[in-house]
Amino acid sequence: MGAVVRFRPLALARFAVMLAVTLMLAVPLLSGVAVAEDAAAPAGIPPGTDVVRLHEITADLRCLVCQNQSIADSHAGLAIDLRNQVIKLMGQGKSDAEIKQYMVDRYGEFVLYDPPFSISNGLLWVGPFLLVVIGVWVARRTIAARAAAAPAAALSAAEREALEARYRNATTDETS
Amino acid sequence: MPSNLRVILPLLVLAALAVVFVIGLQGDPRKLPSVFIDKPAPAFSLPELSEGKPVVTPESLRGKVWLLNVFASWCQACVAEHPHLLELAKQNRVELVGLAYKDEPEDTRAWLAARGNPYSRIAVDRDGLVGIDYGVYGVPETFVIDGNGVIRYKAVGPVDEGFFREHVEPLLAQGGK
Repeated sequence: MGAVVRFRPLALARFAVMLAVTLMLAVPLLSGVAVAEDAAAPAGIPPGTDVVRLHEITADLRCLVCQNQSIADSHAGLAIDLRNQVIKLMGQGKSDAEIKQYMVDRYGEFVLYDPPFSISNGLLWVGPFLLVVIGVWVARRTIAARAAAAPAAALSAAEREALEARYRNATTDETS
Repeated sequence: MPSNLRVILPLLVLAALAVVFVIGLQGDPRKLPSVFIDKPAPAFSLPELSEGKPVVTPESLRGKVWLLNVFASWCQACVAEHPHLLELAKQNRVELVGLAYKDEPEDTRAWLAARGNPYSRIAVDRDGLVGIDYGVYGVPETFVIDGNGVIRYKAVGPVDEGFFREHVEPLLAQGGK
C-alpha cells in the first residue's frame, strides 16, 4: 500500500519556529517598504521631506470629506491641502503633538483616529470592560444561585437499587 | 430574580438599544459639530475680489452681525442656496461676506455675473488656507458672527429659509451681542 507518513513532532516544531522567525523578520521589512512608497506617491511633496514621519502623522488624521480614509490615503482636495499644512508645520519644527493639536483646534477631536481619553468619549473607552465586568458578575451570581438551589442530596440505598434496576432494564431493552 | 423580570429585562434592554440606534441614525454623519461655536472668528486678511477695494478682515466688521458664506464657482450646492442668499441681500439686515474658496477669481466673477452678487464684500481664499483656519471641510458653509467677533453658528451645506429665522433673527433681536 502507500508509503507510511510518520508524524515527527520535533521536525514539525523546528519548521514552525523557522517560519515564525522568517515572518517576523520579513513583515517589518515589507511594511517599511510599503510605507515609504505610500508616502512618496502623492505628487507635490517637496524634496527633503521626512516622508515616513509625514505618513505616520497623516495616517492618524481623518479625511473630513471621505470620512473612512486617512489624510495619508485620501486624494481629496482638502486632504491634500491638510497634508501640505502638515509638511509646512514639520518644516517649522513643530512636534507631532503640536501638529495634531493644530488639526484638533480646527476640526475637533473627530480628525484623530486615536483620540485621547476624555469625559465625552469615556464611555466608549471604558464601556467594553464595564460590560465584561457586569457579565462576569451576572454569571457568578447565576452559578452561585443554581448551586444553592440544587443540593447534591445523596441517594438512599433503596433509591440506588431502583435506579440500577431501571438502568439494567434499559440496556437489556436496547440490546434485545 | 423573579421570573417575569427575567423575561422583561432583556426586552427592555433591546428596546433601549433600539431607541439609541434610531437616534444615532437620524443625524447626517457628514455634519460635524464645529469647534468654533462661541469662539472668536479667526483673524485673516484677504484681497477683495473687486480690485481696488480694501482687504477683507474680520476686525473691519466688528460691531455688527455678519455672515461669512464659503462658496465657489465649482460648487454645485452653492447654486441651490444662491437664491436664498440673494433674498437675504435684498432684505439687507446683515452684512453678507463671501469667502471665495479655492476658486480662480475670473471664475468667481463669471459665476456671480451670471447669477447675481448677494455679497457686500468677497474675500479671495485661493489656496484655501483661511478655509482650513475656519475648519471648513465642504462648500458651502455659512458662519454667523456676532458684533463681538464671536462665531455663534455654522451651517454646513446650503442654507434655506429657516436658517435666517432660526440662527440670525434671534441674534439681531438681542442687539447682535
